Amino acid sequence: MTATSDDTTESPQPDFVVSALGTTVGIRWVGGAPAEVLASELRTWSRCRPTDEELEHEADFEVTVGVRGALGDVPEEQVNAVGADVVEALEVATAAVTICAIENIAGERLMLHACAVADPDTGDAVVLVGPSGAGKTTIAGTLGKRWAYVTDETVAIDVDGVALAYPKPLCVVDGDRKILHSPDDLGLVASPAEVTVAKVFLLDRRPGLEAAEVEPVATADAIALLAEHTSYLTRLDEPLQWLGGLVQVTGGVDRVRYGECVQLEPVLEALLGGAR
Amino acid sequence: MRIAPVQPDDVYDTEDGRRVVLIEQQVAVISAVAAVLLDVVAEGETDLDVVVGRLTEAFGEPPDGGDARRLTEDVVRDLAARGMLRVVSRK
Repeated sequence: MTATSDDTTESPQPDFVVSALGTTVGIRWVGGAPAEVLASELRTWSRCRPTDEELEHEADFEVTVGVRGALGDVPEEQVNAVGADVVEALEVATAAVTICAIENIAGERLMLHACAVADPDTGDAVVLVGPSGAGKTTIAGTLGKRWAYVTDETVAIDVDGVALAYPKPLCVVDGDRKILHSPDDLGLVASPAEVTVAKVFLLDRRPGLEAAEVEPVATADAIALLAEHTSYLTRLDEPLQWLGGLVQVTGGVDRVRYGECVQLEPVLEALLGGAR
Repeated sequence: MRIAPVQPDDVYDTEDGRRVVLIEQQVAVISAVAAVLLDVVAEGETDLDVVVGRLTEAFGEPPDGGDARRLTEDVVRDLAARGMLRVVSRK
């Protein structure tokens, strides 16, 4: 994704750059943003700062962001992330950053729609896979206070089962709005840059359930179910071998039914220890 | 009936005999019987009688006096509907 909002010969500099799944994305406000908005956005991305080495190069992608009605001369269709206000624009921009990142590493890593937390010392991670609404952000925001917050959205795994941390801002529903929060502000434990996938669960949220229930999923079913929650699966060479390898190396996939995310704590404790 | 193979994009065989198949961007799980059937057909265009013979050899006669030929036809039709093989002749 690249900005097309400026066709002049000089390419404007991004307001800041984030590092997402090994991809650098420059974020540039169209129409300008108040300093406090930029400061706030920088803070929400506090765990995704690029390294000095990454900053030596131009960002891999640029995402332009703006508020509808305040885009100056730039047509709205030429801005990547437009919101009715700053809050909505930031949320749309976060999704745009993730899209850039996953498109950039498509075919290189297995990408699961999942949240993950890890033992901050060993880097052993538990990956919880599920669709939107399965509770990934809530789980990450809750269990991440005890174990390291790896991500609440996409787990990108290499062929050896090593995943890149993507501790992006968490989008939390507040009334009828979605508000981005920095993992720092939520008090989440910092993650190593890379973690090793130790266990994969398929999330099955059942409101009203009084305790978490765990059951193993046969390998064939696990592969098919995981495949439903991937990005760019078929861009991998032998994608089923990737999924099957992950299932095998992690000792099989389990389905976990739960009512409230605190019910997952004993399940993770058995795998990751007490942490914090 | 003559049956022809369709090359899947990827397959993964599991310990319970079932197979995961990726074809046309779709992932599906097929039974152990269906997996063996596809293996037989993978050798080239095959007559249904050959397939029935190979399946009976591998799994024995169907239980409860079932008709092996009819059951095999059912599996063939299912796999054909999922794009995993082609029925080239009904005779």
